[in-house]
Amino acid sequence: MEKGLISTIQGYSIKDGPGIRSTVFCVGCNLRCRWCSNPELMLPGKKVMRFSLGGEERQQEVGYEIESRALAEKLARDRMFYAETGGGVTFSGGEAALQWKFVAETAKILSGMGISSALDTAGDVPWEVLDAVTEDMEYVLYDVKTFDDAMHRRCTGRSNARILENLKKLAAKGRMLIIRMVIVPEYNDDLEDVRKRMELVKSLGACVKRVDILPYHTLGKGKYQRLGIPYPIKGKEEIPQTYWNEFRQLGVGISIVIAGEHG
Amino acid sequence: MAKFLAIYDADPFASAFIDNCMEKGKLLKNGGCQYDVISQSNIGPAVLGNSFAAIKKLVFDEKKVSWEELKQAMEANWEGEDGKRIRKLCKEAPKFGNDEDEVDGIVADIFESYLELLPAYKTDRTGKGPEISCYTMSTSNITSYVPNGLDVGATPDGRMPIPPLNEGCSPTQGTDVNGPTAVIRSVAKLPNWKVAAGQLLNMRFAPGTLAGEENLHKFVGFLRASQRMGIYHNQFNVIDSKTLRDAQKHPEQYTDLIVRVAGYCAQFVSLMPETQDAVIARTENVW
Ligand code: SF4
Repeated sequence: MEKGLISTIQGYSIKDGPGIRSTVFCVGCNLRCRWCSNPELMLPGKKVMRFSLGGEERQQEVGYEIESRALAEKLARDRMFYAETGGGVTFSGGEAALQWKFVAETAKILSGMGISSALDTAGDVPWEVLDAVTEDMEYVLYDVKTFDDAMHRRCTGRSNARILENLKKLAAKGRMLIIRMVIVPEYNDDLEDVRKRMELVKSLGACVKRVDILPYHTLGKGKYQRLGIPYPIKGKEEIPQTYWNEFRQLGVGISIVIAGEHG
Repeated sequence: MAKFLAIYDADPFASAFIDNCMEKGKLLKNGGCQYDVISQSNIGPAVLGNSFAAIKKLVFDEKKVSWEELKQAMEANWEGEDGKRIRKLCKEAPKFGNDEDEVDGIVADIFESYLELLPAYKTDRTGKGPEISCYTMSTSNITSYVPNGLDVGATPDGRMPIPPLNEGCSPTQGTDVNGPTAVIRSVAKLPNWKVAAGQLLNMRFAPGTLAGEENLHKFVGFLRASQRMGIYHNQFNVIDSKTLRDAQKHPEQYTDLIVRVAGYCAQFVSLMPETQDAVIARTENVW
């Protein structure tokens, strides 16, 4: 039985794929996105966040180990909600694919129980790993952060060559994809690059079920403080509506959902 | 309660529509009704269950605190260093509403024992006319959980004296931290089908959670799944804490703000401050 390191399971999760889902947050990531809102999941291992609340010093431990079978049984408790809404479980993080044996095993057990799974991934793992981890899954939620390689390095510290390759391979395999794009002002909001991202998505064909646009938020800022590390980005936070109008033009022909717009 | 109703709610008009009143020549509240089943309201079962769970864990299982120490700490309203330390342990003990079998089982036990004892109680009208005259259980205590809290001192779940007890069969305000599906799973473990006079569950959702068609569909699915798990009554406030706090500050701007309090809806600004706080304290589910 495989063991994994996770931080939390979020129930009634409505942003991580179809229906009502439970999202499992896995600890550890191999990218270093400047805007990462989950630094406690980005850095490896267990950790402690310190903060004060109402004048009281508190601390919160992040990360605990759990076996795949125990996790699957926990997740299965919400099966009625998944069944009524076409939902299921989403493995997110951090980078869930880094703990691929554990995630794959949990997904397999869930699938045996008739529960659908999805992987939320940034995709920077060997193809064999990505292929294996999604074996028993219904959906892959795939981040496309930039098209340009240099821009990707600036934003995340790593090249996106393997990421884009893997995306094409998933599509060629016919995996159902939900593309996720986070737009961060002054980092990856360049509309010419967005156009190339959209072209790429269109070239993947019908396996792309939709594109979710997640506007950048600074809600993670407090967590950096609690971990005692500096918040890595500066810059403006608001994205004007005119930007989204142009953005939509680039995505004509694909199903785009911009969070917060509900259009 | 029944005594007062007999005087102030004798109600000849309603009695005219109830079989048997005419034949008996008695009003509804004086024994004219053939099947006279009264809803008996249970108040604070989650506070009680959480308290038992804390005692079980801290005093018996882990022996971290003695019964005497706990009692003293509660009598001192958790004041002093020891009081604070013990209260912290009590607050960290498992709480109903998070799908934890042990504490949920204790709350279910409380329901069962109440249901077992209830038939032994006679109503004021037993033997005075009705063929059947008894009590049946409900948790539809309207707002009683707020004033009742005023009379209850510190409790072993870590609650301070005076704040409201839990509302209906809902988790104690703010102690359900695993989201709405966990609340449903906990409440589903109660003998809901035996609580014939109303099992009141209240939840609060932030507006964003329900915004847009897709989220509404998910919410409908949530309701259907809950129903299939035996939850037959669930009320929602869809509003964020910020708005409610603002309404407390500027009541004149919020005269149209209607909230579900418990068994009824009310104009938020007309509620007493303790009740307003209780509505705000009900865990807001926001994603
Ligand atoms: S891929 Fe996700 S978890 Fe990893 S650093 Fe980027 S934003 Fe954070």
